Amino acid sequence: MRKLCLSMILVIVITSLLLIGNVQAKEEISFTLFHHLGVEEGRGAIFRKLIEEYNQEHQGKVKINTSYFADWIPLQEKIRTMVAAGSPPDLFYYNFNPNDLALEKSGELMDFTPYMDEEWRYRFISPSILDMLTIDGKLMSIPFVQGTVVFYYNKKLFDKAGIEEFPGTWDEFFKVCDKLKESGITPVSLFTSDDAWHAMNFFTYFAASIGGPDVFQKPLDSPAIVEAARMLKKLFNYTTADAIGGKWAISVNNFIIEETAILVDGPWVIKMLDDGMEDPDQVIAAAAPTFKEGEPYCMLTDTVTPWAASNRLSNEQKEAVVDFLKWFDSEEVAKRFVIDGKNVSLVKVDLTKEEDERAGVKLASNIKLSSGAQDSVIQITRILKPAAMSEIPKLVEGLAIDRITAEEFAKTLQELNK
Amino acid sequence: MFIRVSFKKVFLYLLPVVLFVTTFFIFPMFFIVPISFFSWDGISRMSFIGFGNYFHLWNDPGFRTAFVNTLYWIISAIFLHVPFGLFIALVLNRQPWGWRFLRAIFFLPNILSVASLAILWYFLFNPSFGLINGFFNFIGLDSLSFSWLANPKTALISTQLPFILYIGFTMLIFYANITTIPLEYYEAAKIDGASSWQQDLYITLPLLRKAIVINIIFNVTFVLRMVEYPLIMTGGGPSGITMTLPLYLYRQMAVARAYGITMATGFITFIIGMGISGLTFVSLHYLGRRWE
Amino acid sequence: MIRKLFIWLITVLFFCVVIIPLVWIFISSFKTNIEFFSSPYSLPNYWTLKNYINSFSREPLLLYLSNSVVVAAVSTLLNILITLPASYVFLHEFPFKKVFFVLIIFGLFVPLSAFILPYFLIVSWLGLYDSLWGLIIVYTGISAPLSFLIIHTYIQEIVNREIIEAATLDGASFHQIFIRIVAPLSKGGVATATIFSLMIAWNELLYAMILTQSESSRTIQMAIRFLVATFYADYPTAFAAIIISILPMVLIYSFLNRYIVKGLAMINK
Repeated sequence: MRKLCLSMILVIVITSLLLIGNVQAKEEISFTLFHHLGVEEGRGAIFRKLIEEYNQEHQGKVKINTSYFADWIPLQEKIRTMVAAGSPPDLFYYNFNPNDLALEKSGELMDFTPYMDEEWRYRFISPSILDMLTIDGKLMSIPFVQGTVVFYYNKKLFDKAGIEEFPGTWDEFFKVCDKLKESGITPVSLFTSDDAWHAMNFFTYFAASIGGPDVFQKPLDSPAIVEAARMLKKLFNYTTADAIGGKWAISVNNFIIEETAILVDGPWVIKMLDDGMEDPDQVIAAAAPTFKEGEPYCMLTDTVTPWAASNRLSNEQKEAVVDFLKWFDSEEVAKRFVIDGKNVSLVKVDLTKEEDERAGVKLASNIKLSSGAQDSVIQITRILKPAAMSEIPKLVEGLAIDRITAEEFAKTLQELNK
Repeated sequence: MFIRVSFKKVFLYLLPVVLFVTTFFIFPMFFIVPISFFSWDGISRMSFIGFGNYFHLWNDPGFRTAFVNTLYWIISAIFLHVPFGLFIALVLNRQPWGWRFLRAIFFLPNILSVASLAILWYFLFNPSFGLINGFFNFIGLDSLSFSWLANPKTALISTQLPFILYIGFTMLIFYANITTIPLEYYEAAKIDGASSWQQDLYITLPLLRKAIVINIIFNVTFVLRMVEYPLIMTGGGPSGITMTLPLYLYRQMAVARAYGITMATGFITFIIGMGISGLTFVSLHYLGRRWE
Repeated sequence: MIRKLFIWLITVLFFCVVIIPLVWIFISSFKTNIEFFSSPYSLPNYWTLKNYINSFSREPLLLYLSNSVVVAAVSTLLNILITLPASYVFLHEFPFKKVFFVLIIFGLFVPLSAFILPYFLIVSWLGLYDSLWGLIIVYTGISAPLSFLIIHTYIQEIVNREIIEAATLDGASFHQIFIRIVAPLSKGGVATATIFSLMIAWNELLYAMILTQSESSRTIQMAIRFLVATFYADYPTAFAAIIISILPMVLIYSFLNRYIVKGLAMINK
């Protein structure tokens, strides 16, 4: 009996060891792409399909392996840990933060400058983005996506509460919230874990409405920020019980199962809504409320989310990476990614009318709202220093449960961000 | 008693174990202290800041909360958990009907991974569909259905409560030890007219000294290692309320990438762990002397 | 009498606390997400295996499980390989014996979380970051003191001096005694140590999080940690994944209960 067990274990061990040590064809170049695009997400399905196609086309010569990890913020943390360990992921994308250039300055990222040519340069919406991504004379990231954040609301639930149109001012907005609450509907989806994305979206919108789009360029303990914090605190009266301590997936899910009526997020949720909701056409995208009637709205965007690659790749691998990225940024592929992925890309894409229709109403609204905006402002958590960024959940929760005041919120934020 | 052999002979037999143990237990000790005097984020260069990290920890309310919470946990481990496990072991010792089955049930949570139990209890505490609130609603005590993990008043207890699941381990160690006590002692005591409680108090307890020490040490090291419960259930709690030392350590390392502080916190954790182990050893040693 | 009542009270309570949640999760894993939200506590109207199938197709659970198996098995194997010989030599007297004993046992008293950063650095320097081998050697190191203690105690009890003396008189060398006599005799201790080592390696999360990142080296515990996010808040599927992950341990436990209890007895000495 024991001998059998022992030999079984040995067999398992040996087979697995053989599997760990990848037996690969010598000529084939491969690299691993780290991503978080799950199949449920808008971009997930098309992304995987595109990778498959690329692999098929280049079979025997280049192979792209993928490493999937669902949770965005922990994935970002892991990437930084990997860079610290001296083994950065082969290819990945991340949130570019002009106030935290640790990744770019680590020397672990591949320099794309020698590979960037005129043709590629003009594939991007505005070549000035490349300038922003050039640090110390080196271009270490290639633009990928930049999401726009709009207010998705459930018209059916609005009708049920007797609300006719989406509020144009913040006063109306809170009145709408009251009305929804009275009808037994939870108004907004929020969560506080990781980067408190939904809550901070609101916060950014509040602050930008009060202090103008450049409010984050100034010190963070300004009256505008304090007022925004107060409004954020008020907002927590209008959300679900699992908002505190909750995660992004839970918050979005609350909107999908029609527990809440308003979701403030980017285009990547569109597919989740289309697939998960009973009647996705009830969801409409609207612009943010402002302070005064008729005041032009500003548009919140995610930060630029660019590609980056490991500097420890071999020359052949680097060339393969460049080849892949150029292919990905080509007109044809980019179009498919935008349309099927319901995505807003940083690569120039000209959609015909019928392609517009295929992309769907919600994406079209996204694009329309984005172009109609007066100003754009980047979501605040994306440009904070790491010390401030990691304290956001604690600060937001503290605000929500009355442990800290709005003034303390602003003051702490400013102190951590110095 | 033993055959004498030269060192040369045993060398090869000992080498692998000693190698591993030195690398993983001795070597790190010499790491922690020096680096804790630097500020480092793993990528850029280290910069010497003397006791700066320790001052930072002293002033950081997050660390203070973590420290206090962990202390609560340790205290409940030593003064609630261990006695309770002892009590159950004593009762089980009398072998009531079905004791084997009971023993099996008590030990079950110990073999399941901490992560799965943590996420299980995360679901149990969920305000909308969790079993706990469901139970309270069912029996009509609606007022007791809190948002357990989000409410600052209940969050801490909720993350520390599942620790009681691990009582099986404590109990079994006691139990195994109790069964080695020769029955004659009990016989003699019975003849002398001692009740079962008195027997336990005067015979069992003193002889269980060693087991008590072991249990305290194991439980304390377990608490100091347990990152899963606060991490999975609350992520540190509403506004840092449920933070504990090991979670704080993990956060500093993986999220904030403040390696100097990580080392400093690690050092403090290490001191606490070794300190309590040492204290337990010594105090029960002397108590034992007195008892005999 | 009171004692009996008390023990039954405790048992019922414990039963509820341990068994009922597991049963609930088990039952709920057969519901669809929508059904679960509308009636979390009832029996499913329509028992579906979809969640189990989904959890395998959406996530490479099989890969994670096999990673966990490999890491647990190999680290246990290594563990026994290094602690068995060491236990053997403690049957003899040699210079610094006590020192070595304390050295090896020392690891049992150390709070492991204090060392996460040093382990991370060691593993990175060895170039084993983000690989199963990194995890394997760390787990071997971590379980070594406990395995040693178990096997050592076992051997001390089972093997008495006469056997060794007789063998030496017969002309057996130091090494031969080990291989021919002591090793076979220590099977019981080895079995127990194996189980504990397997348990520790399988259930470990903290180091799995720190030392691995990519999908290919992820263990099942990591998958559990991120269950809610991974399945986009599809709770029943998450439940299915949990059941899948605890099944192996439960099976092992039901069959090898005896050894575990024995092992705990040995730690005492």
